[in-house]
Amino acid sequence: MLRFCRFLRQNGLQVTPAHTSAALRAVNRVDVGDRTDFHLGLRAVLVSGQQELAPFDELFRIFWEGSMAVQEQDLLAPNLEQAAARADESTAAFSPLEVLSLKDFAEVAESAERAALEQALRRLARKLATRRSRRLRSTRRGGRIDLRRTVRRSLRLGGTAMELARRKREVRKTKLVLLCDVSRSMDQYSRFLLQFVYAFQRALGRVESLVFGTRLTRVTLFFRHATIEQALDRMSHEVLDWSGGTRIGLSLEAFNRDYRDMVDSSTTVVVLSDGLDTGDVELLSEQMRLLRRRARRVIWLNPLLGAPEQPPLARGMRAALPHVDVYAPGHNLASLEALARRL
Amino acid sequence: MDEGIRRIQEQMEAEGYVTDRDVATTVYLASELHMPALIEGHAGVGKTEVAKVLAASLGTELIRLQCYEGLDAYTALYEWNYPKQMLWIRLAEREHLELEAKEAHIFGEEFLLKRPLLQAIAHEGKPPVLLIDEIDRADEEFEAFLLEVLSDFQVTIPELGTIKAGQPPFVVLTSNRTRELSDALKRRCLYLWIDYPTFDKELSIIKVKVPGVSELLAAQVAAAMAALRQERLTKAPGVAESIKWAMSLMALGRPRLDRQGLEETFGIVLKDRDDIAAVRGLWLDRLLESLEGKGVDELRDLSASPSS
Repeated sequence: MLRFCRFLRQNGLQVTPAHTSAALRAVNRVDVGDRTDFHLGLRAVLVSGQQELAPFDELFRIFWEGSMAVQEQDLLAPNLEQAAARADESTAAFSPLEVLSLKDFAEVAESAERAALEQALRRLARKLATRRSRRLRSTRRGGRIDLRRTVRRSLRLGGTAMELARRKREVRKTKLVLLCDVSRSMDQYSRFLLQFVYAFQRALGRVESLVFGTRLTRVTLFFRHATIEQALDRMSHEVLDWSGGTRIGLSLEAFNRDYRDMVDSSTTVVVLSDGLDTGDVELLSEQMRLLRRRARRVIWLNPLLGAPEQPPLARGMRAALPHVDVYAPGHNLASLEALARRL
Repeated sequence: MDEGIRRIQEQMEAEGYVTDRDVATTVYLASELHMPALIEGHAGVGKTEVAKVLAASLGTELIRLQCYEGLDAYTALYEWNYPKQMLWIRLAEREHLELEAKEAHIFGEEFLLKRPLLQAIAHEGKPPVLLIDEIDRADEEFEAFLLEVLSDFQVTIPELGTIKAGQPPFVVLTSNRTRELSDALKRRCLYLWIDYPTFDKELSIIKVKVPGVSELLAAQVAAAMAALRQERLTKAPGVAESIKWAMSLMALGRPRLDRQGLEETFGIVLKDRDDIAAVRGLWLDRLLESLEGKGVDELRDLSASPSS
């Protein structure tokens, strides 16, 4: 039993000592001669989420039905690596249009300029990331009357409520999801915008960020515990569709499908893109609609919007616009500050 | 099969709940090890039912706490009866009681309104089943508070002292997974995932819940549901919808699923305008065509090989 728990732990399941002791108690209560009881009983105790169910079943089978000799080895890890490598190959082959170019991020903006930028971004981030909670907190004026406290205070005055205690809704943090376009048409802006993403992640706890061109990559973890240069460097190696085409619709579809749980009614979604889409515009419109319905707010920042001579609205942008709450330029510092003031 | 698990399964079936073995095993262990059970799954797959049936089969009371955003500890635990307190203070004005004496009186048990969590803890006699429904809708602060209550089943009310459960209640938590629950909470619980039922399970659920339904109609409903859940809908129909659908078709006197019956009752199955628009037309034609003239076994085969 202990070895089984260790085996699960080695293969990435969250098995704590408390789990192990519960498992030991559980096997005392079920008929261990019955394979199904044994399996389901252990599963109820040791699994703590839907995503662990399939791995558990697989590991259970390997451990209890496989030969004892293989248990001690970290049996699954190499397999998983192979599988991941295979998956990578197949997705790469799947999108032949993708331009596999690795970008150089060596040039760094001047530090004073960058400091000012980051500060402005942090201000914006705070604005975007708060909302009023449904929870009540006591306050001097405004808000609802708090009967509990009012009665308490009135006691001293023989039951006359001289002063009403009040409480009102507290300001709380929201979740933020950033979707950043890194296709070729965005080349001159994407570095700047990724800095934006970086600053947001620094300033706030609950930020998820993803980049897209012809496909979608989650980069939240790239930014954690790294300088911006490290993060950009890592990204230029791992994001395969830098400076390629744009399939905003497909990317959004992937987002709505694979990262569904990231968005709920308290989430603000920020899309950073010029809306130049080479893919299916209908799909883009449909996916934007779905996204907006689940999110609290969808903000689209378009760097082209600030250009001196405005190019005609891109086809994709036109499709997306009806499903956007705030549409604003995002090409320089001033435009972001203007946005922060408006929100 | 283990004797205890079989007993639970039989009891649940006697209550009209069609169980799988993993459900029965989890319920059995929850009662044996006295651990809370966390049940996750899509909306309408019968998560809440498990708690109800558990209470019925144990012959004990079900206490339900429905979670929502903004739910706080007081609403879940206890509240003082303020109007009554105010009234009493007024009445006692002439009695020249000391402040302390007044305080002691109005913060006595007589003025205490017990909310579900306190009810479950202060419950006398047989331990009740405490259902904490849709815990994912409450916020993280409440979850942390709940964790504390679940670990020692005692509550301290500043004015009254500590109340401890004589026998801790059986706890069932449900979640629709609109947000991830904390690891600490998940670690403390037995875990059960209830998926959409298989064709056969859904068929038997419909037959149990809709007395008098014909085998064929029940099978057609089950097959149509299986096909619907294959589509990417905003709000996929659950088992509750299957039951209501079969009931409505019966009430309308339709022995089997045909176009007219489907058109008339579609609002029961799909609750989202976009979803209805998505499957109406071609998709429906194909569905009806594939169900047409098939017997129960053929319908089962149809559901077993999805995406036609």
